[in-house]
Amino acid sequence: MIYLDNAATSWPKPEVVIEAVERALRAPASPGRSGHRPAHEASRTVHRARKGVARLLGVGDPERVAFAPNVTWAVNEALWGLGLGPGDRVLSGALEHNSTARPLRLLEARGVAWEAVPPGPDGLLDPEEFRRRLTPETRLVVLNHASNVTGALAPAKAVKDAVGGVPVLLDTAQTAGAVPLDDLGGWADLVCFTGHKGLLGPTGTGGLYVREGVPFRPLAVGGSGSRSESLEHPDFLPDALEAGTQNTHGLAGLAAACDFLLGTGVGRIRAHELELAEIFMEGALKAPGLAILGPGPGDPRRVATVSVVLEGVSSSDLARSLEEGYGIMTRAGLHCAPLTHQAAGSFPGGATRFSFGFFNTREEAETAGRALREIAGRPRRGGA
Amino acid sequence: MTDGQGEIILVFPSNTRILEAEELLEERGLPFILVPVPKEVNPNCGLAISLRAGDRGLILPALEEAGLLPQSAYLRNGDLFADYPLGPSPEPDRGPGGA
Repeated sequence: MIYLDNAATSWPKPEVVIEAVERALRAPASPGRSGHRPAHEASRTVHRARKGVARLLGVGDPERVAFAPNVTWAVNEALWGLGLGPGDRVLSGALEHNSTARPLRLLEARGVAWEAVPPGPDGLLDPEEFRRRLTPETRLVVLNHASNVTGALAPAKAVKDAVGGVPVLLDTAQTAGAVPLDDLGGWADLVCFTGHKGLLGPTGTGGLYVREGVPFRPLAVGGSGSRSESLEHPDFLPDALEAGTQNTHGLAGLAAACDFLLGTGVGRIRAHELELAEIFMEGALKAPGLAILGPGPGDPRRVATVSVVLEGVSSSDLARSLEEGYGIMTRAGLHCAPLTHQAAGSFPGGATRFSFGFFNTREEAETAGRALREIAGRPRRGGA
Repeated sequence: MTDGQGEIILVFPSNTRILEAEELLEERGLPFILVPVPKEVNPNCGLAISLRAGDRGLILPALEEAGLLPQSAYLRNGDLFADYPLGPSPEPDRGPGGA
């Protein structure tokens, strides 16, 4: 199998991650809930994950990193915390995943104005377009740090500079662990992350960084292991946003994954993944009738996620041919990102997505390109 | 405040803080142990730091410097707990006094 669906979830997970999950599952412990040694060990493990994520996001204070079941939950929680209401306005990029677009649509139905800023012809967002759309009512800017369809990186810091004091919520689902993020704590107000993609951890892990001074509010309240005497949920981080027993074994895996990433170096990972994307794009573009959505070869303003449209072949048929003929796993369709496909002109048919990870090889990238050339050379439905 | 005997219990506002404090004290090789939070002073389920009263001059300044002072501290004598004031860095023992 050639697994090229790392934008959905990374595979394989490092062995140390699997071992850490198993170890945690065998331990008799719930973190932060009891005073005995195994429980404390579980707490230490969760804390190690918190510190690892804080380092990889470049946000400094691990206490301001709260874990959640996934990035979608984190986005919802971040938006809920801001208390947006009628009269408020939100700007986002038009390369959003539904994890941000649907909560924003819900806010829109409740009277919040939402405008999605389209990318330029090159598929990239322009910070000046955000500045131009600012109004006194703009309360938030939401940015998908890298498109899960085109791989285009958002010029996030430049957008923040362009919008001044307006808070920025950054969705790092496609960049955490894949792009060095050394300085987010210096400017990003809310950073949402998932643990199971570039961070190489298990599914069921994700969370939210809240910059000091930015309001937050839990989506759920309940047991926290702290202030047990009170019926009021704690108002301090991370407890405020971590009601209920944490996903201990998942976070144990995430802690091990963070250690792996910090030991390997995210810069090295990015260089390898970009090289694979380059090899793939150069090979794929030799296929007649094939178009790449977003930044093409030689443009580093991307992550290693590349979506293609092959003239006369549906995205799903292409994915099927790749799996049946070559054992290549891709993802077809709209990738939970209809706005992006609309902006890229690939709606509603979608595209076939190839997303490379650290464990993919040059040979695999070459094979994927060759497979596309061979499929493109076959007779097509409709005579295209 | 004390004659250097006895046990001081440090209670932290959150699990995260106690983990940070534990890590700091371990890194510096300072003497302490973790104990369940005594229910006589706090109903929380987690852990507290226990130190010998005579070591407070080592430990409390280290915590203060790192911004990790506990939310409260107690001088334990058997089953009795007395509030132990936290403030500016404790000075070396000034002899017996009210704890």
